[in-house]
Amino acid sequence: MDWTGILSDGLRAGLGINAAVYALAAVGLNVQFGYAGLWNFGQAGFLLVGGYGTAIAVNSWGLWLPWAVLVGVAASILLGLLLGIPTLRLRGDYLAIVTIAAAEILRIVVNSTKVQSVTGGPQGIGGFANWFFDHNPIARGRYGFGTITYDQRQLWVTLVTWALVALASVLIAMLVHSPWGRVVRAIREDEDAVRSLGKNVYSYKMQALLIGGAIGGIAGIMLVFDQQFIQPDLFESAITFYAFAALILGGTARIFGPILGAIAFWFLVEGADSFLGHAVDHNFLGVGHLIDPTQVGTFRFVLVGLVIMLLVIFRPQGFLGSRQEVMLGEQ
Amino acid sequence: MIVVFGLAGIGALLGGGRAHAATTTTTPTTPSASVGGTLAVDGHPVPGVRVTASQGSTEVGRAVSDQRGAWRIRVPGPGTYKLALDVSTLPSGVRAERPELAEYRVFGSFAQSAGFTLTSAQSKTSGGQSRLDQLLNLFVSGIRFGLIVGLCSVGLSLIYGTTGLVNFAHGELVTFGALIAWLMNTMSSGPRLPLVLATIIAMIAAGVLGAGLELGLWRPLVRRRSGASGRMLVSIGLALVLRYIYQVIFKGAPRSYREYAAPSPVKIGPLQSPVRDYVIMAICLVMLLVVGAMLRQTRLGTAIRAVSDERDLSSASGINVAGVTLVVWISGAMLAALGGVMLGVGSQGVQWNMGFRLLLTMFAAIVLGGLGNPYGAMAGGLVVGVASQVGTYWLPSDLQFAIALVILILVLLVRPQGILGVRERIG
Repeated sequence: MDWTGILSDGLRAGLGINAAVYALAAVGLNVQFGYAGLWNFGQAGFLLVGGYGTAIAVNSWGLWLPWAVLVGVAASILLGLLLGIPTLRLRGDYLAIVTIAAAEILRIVVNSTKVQSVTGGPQGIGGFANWFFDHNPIARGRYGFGTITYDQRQLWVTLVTWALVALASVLIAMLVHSPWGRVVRAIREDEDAVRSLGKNVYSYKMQALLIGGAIGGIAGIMLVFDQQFIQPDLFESAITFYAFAALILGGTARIFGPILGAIAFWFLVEGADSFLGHAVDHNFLGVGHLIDPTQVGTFRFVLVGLVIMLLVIFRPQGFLGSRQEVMLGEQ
Repeated sequence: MIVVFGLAGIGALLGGGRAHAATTTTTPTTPSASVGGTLAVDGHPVPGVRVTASQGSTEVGRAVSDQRGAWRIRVPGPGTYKLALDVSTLPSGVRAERPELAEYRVFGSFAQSAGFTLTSAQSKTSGGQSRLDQLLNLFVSGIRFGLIVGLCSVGLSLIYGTTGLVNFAHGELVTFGALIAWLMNTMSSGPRLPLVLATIIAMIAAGVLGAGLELGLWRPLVRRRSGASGRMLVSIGLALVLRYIYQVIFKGAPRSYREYAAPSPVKIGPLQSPVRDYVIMAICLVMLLVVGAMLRQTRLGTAIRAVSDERDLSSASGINVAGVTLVVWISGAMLAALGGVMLGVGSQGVQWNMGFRLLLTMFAAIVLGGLGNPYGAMAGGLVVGVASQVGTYWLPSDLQFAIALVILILVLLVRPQGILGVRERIG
């Protein structure tokens, strides 16, 4: 068994672009769910409108990419408004169901043949991020340490995404330590108490939803930049569940929670994948008899599901969270 | 008309991440670039259809769909290809909506999927039917779908009512029933029982699974004072585990049962449906009426409604809340399993993710009807079913599911407590 190979496969993914995109999506969820207690189950939808907004603005309207990125972010803020206005006055379950429904509607609609001329339907849109890669300051070559290397293209998009994660985290840290953050956290604990102090609960919740959604939109933009390609399948509702898993893994209502969680999540996912692949090849512990090589990818999801279950059951506060602050633990 | 998406790119999300991993590492298990899909019409696989992939004018690969309708072409690598379906190899009466995907992008060294939409002559596009007749037929198939959705979601609603759990793994109970029935009825090395018997066994198995989940997972979780939101996340994890275990065991392609697979439609006035569909409707309706009557008339039903309304007060007044919850889990799982078989017998076919695909429709139904109200689940199911079917008269059928969800959001705007919900429930 090639243990160093498995470890470096895990680490490469844990530091890579996917982990960075998920960290960004989870930072957004952390504002909504961790601090404000909002059940946004449609984060995939925010990623989708961010990504599609940008891709369509370049592809159909011929906008300069930086303007197109603003269009993408504006689109995800608009989505937040549309979802928040009807549901933020209702109980949390309703927001959860409406957001997940909206994310699915969006995915089905962009997939539809009716709008194929704009969204490309199931075939998607490609090649809209040339400007971004044309401005890559990193010289050609492979960079990294040991067996964990990235080429200049991967390194560029990965570094930019991690920088955005850092920027978003700093902004959120400043926000949650301001009076705004205290009100939002109080809303999570007891809405009525905050309302009795004369605060406009609805407006605070809306702000939290929009900030988290905009960060989600940026995550979607970086996801499709990396691929230079956008297609509806990239935005399955599973993306929301995995972002939640990453957030809970790291610890909700903690600044570093979503970042650490996303790194750990992708380390686990790709490490498990690599482990299963090697184990099947070398018939480690008789695994080769149990799993067909083509089923390794599928087993990975079983593992992810198990990790989510065990985490929530045995350590609902994640790596960094405090038991008191995490609503998962309370009745 | 049924839209069939290719199934090969399962988990395209994580798969998207794999594209890069595959270029930097040489994992021996990573398949090379390929594109494939499953051809089916009205839920039945279409074998023997030739699909070719070409770049410019050079053909780079071809495949013929197998007995399960599945096809896969290996392509040289990432790039843009033209995928073409040879219409002359289609069975008579079946046509492709778009036989050519001119610019299909393969963007990594892994299995990707491409969907061709096939239409049968019996579908709504068939000539000779007046517009009113088409609408009527869609309405009837909407009622059938709605009854199935209602049957599947009664359990979801009751579980929410009695335990406060939004169970994301409920779809997997639906799939469970359909798959167990398939094992008992169709699998060549299985007992090959008649479908009626297989369905009963599937329901019993689902009841056991439901009881096991309540006793082994949910009850201990409640005892650990795990909150409703925590349990919701556990159910998401559970759904993932179950769903992908189904996929490992049953593979990706849709299958149909040995019996009642391809009945010929019978004309009754303007209506054109196989007798099978009327039987499905009758079974669902009878089951729903029985459940409704039991909830109204029996002591157990009264106890369930009481726990659903006010858990603590019920407990204080001597109702065995734990017992009632167990009964709800067992009966909810059995109803879901029956619904799964009904769904599998009908046009959808049996597939590893059929329940998951129905999950949001079920959520729509129970929210529409009023969360936690079992009659609401039935009413909501009918509204969602009819609306999503009849809506395809005006809109393309790939938007069918979106219609149901749009209706859900619209109803929540005007009446957040749902059609039959009580105002105070929205808290």
